[in-house]
Amino acid sequence: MREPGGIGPHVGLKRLIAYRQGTLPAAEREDLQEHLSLCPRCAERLLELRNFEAASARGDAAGPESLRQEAWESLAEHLPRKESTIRPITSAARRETPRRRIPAFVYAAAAALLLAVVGLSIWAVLTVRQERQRVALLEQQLEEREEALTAAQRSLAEAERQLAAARGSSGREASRIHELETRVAELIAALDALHRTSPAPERRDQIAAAQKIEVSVAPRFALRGQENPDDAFLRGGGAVNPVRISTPADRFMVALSLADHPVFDQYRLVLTDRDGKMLWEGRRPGSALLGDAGTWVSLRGLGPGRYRLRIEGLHPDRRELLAEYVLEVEPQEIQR
Amino acid sequence: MSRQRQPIEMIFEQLRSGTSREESFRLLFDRFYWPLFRFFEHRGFSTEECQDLIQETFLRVFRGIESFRGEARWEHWLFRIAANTASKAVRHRAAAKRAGQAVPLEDDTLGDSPPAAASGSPRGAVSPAPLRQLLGKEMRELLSEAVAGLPPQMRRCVRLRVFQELDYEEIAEILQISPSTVKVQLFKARKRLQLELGDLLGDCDL
Repeated sequence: MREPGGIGPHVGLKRLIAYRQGTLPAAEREDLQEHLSLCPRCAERLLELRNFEAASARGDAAGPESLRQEAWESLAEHLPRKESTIRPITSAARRETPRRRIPAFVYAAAAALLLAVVGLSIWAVLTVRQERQRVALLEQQLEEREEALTAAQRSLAEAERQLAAARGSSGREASRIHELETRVAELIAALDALHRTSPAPERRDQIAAAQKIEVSVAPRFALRGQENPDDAFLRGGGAVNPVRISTPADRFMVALSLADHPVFDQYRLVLTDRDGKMLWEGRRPGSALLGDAGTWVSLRGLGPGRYRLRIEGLHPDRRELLAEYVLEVEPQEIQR
Repeated sequence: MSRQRQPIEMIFEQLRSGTSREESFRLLFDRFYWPLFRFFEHRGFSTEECQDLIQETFLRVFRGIESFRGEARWEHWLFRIAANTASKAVRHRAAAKRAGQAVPLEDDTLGDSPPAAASGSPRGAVSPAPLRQLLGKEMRELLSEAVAGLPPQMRRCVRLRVFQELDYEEIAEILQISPSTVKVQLFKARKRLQLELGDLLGDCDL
């Protein structure tokens, strides 16, 4: 007869053995005894263990010797026939084993494998170097664009100032006013065009694409596949196209999603300025990143400008750069 | 010292070192054949199945001997392998049954269902009469509630005795106390339960 009520999951053999050996802490021991009193299956397993220990210690036969002999003969057929075919464990025994001749094709295969590994390593190093150069190029292009924007804004301000001055004069300079108005309109159009331009697709790049990590950067949190298309989202394995975030938002969201299982114990996010000075740091355990999980990055006090966001994977003994992004924080509206 | 009673550690070392490996393995087999036989037989396997399962267990031991680091007791390591082998066999049997194949075992009380819980007490004379024949559902619920209010050790003794139908010695093994303590706890429990349940307790054998 079973007593009603929940009794929790069954106890594993390891824990039952620890209980038998008296190595469980007192509280755990109490819980286990309570479970055993409610769970016939686990109580039975414990008694089986006790019986097995007792029978092993006694070593007496429980049936005819012929049965054991028959079992051994059957088992022996399935064991390796010769002693030499069983791999010894200790180094001394290994030395005693006669050296076997290794066929030539094994050497050839090993050499091919070695070459492949070396080739792959060189390719990886070159790729990383190439990717870094491309990131630097992208930054340079962004800088040029920013300078062009600043120059255009300055010209527009100057043209507007001249226009206001001309309008304030006696009105005899109608042609001058018209000329300046045209100039201002042209400059506004040019400025808008500059703002509309995003880096060309060929400037976009990928680093650390091999890592199964999805990164989204946006002013607010959104589930994968439900992002607002107006948000500056970064997706995929480390695209380095810049993300623009307007300053009225004092923070933005970095969402990390692991496609599979966490490769690293922890993931570290670092926001730096262009010189590499750390401005913000956040860590998330790998287990917290399955599905949609995010962390807020504060922009308070940073102001417009360009920043770098690095995402690293951390193991106790090493760290690995997984992705690097350029973030561009800009004013929400252009002051005219 | 006879080869048969050679310490397990010595046999084990010989196995790991690779010297006289088959001979050492035979010693190990001889030492643990019957304990394993009893274990599988207790789980309800036939003699033929016990032979197969013992062979499977020792093959696993042979293949895994290098991975055994000696952190656990050798007997416990072997027991875990045997228990996993038995569970695997039960799963295969269940899968074969689902697939409509003929299965060699006759009843459904093997594997994960302990005999005491699934088919009444296997212990015959030493256990109390099956309670389900004596008590109705209502009575069982009343008894469960009353037992839940007992002090921890007393409560566990009663549950193991009444609901799992174990004898004093088995209860003592499970709770790691002496059989006489079990007797005292059950005696006191009976007094307390009688006060609470009166005649409802009936001839329930504590």
